[in-house]
Amino acid sequence: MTQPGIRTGTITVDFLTPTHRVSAQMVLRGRVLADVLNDVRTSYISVDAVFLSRLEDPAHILKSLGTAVLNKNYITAAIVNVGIEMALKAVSPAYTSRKVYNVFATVPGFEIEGTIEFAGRPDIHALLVTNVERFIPIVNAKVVMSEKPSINFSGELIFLNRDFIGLLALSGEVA
Amino acid sequence: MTRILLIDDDVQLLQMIRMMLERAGYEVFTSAEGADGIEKVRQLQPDLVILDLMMPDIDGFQVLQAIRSDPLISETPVLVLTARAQVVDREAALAARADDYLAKPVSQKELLDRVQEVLSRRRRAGGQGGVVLFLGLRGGTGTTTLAVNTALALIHSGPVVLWDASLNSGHVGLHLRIAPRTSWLDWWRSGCSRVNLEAHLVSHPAGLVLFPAPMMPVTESIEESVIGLTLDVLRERFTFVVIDSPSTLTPPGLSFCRESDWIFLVMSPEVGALQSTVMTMRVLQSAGIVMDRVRVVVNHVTGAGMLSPQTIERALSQAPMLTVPFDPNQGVALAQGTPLVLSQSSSPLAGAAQRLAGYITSTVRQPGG
Repeated sequence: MTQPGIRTGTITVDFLTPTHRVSAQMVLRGRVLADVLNDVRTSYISVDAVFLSRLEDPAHILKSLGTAVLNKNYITAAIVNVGIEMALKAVSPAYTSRKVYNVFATVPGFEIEGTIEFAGRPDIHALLVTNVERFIPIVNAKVVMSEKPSINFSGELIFLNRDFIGLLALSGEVA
Repeated sequence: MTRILLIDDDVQLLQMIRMMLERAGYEVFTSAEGADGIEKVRQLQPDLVILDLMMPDIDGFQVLQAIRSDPLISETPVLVLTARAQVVDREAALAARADDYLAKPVSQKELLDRVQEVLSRRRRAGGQGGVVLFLGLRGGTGTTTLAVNTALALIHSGPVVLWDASLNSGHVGLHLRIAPRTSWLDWWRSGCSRVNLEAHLVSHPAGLVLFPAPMMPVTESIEESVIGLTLDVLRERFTFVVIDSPSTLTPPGLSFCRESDWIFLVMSPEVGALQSTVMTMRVLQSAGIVMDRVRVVVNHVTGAGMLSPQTIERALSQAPMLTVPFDPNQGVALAQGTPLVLSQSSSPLAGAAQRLAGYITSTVRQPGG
């Protein structure tokens, strides 16, 4: 599998779906992953070097595929560990102060903990209802499988599909 | 030369890693797909396989399974290198009997550190002779004295070679009254032939064999892989290889540490030596060296004006393994070229060397042990 990085323009992403783990590479063509995931013009993303595992045995490679198309409606979370700079746009200095909060969320099959950043007053209702971005970035996150808590995934950055979120809570300011 | 086989479907990455390893002195072979990789492991019988897990057709797990189930190659060390970097992936790779696991992207330093660690771990498990390193980064702590006396105390337990690995005109010869005309550097320059090794070793009448340091300080760069190769050869012939380490933690110095079964950090009870020892331990830890192998020996303890044992223990976060009183006889022993273990076995320093030797023989794996 290609070494991910800015030089190669590829990013390795672990996609979690309700049934499978899909490890794949994406060629971003100058965009960041957040933009690709939140692009409302298409419900599909193209992925290369795809390695498919069932959630119940997430390290076992069930199938390897050269290229594939993933339906965004099917993605619960997208985990990034290498190349964060290719996943999220750098935040430009704002007049309002940005603060980081601990966050906890549930989606079908998973519990997620991490941190989330807000500019100004933290408003999770707005985050879920009026926010135009479908995939919410959670930093330094840990995803635990609800049925098998011994299986967990960690990511420097995890994009959580808003449509799957059942519960979302903030638990205190970090910084 | 240590032979490494890389198996990865990414041809660019193969070239990049090949370059990193060849620069470090390894002989590198490559394969871009699983089936060919298995065949090459059988043909080449490499010292190490670096294996990508995520390959089309036959994935890394299948390659690993094929290696482990073939009796001819089942003991080949395998370092897994993969972009799947979750805990479950690491656990699965280790459960499939990979020796170690590294996540992509990998830096040159991280790769070389891990390669050396896997290779030396396998050597240690191979039942060959034990390697004991004496290291003191601050001068005047008596590191060489302890190395010489401990090596002599070990000769009752089997053949011992004392490798004077100093890069700055070693002093072991002075302790043993030996004026060597050759050195390990000469052996390296002559091509590291096993047949030729004997000509570069010097025997001491007490039964110890010395692998002498060059008289002139070493100014040329040293390939780290040659250190491992030299130790392979010495371990085949000697039950114990005692190393008087270079006083540096540059890459060659760290290589000695990685290859050793036990590392004795020698310090004197004063602030400068304590600082050097604490920092040395941090460097060793960050270099991935298992700290269970590291023991601190406090030498030259006189009492007056020295750091207390409690202060030293607090700073090190562990009690020193041994405290050696200052031995006034050592000056005469050095002048006469007769180590105290041989001339005054009841002296404090000789007693300490005997204790260290006892500790080593009881804990370092013996051949066949």
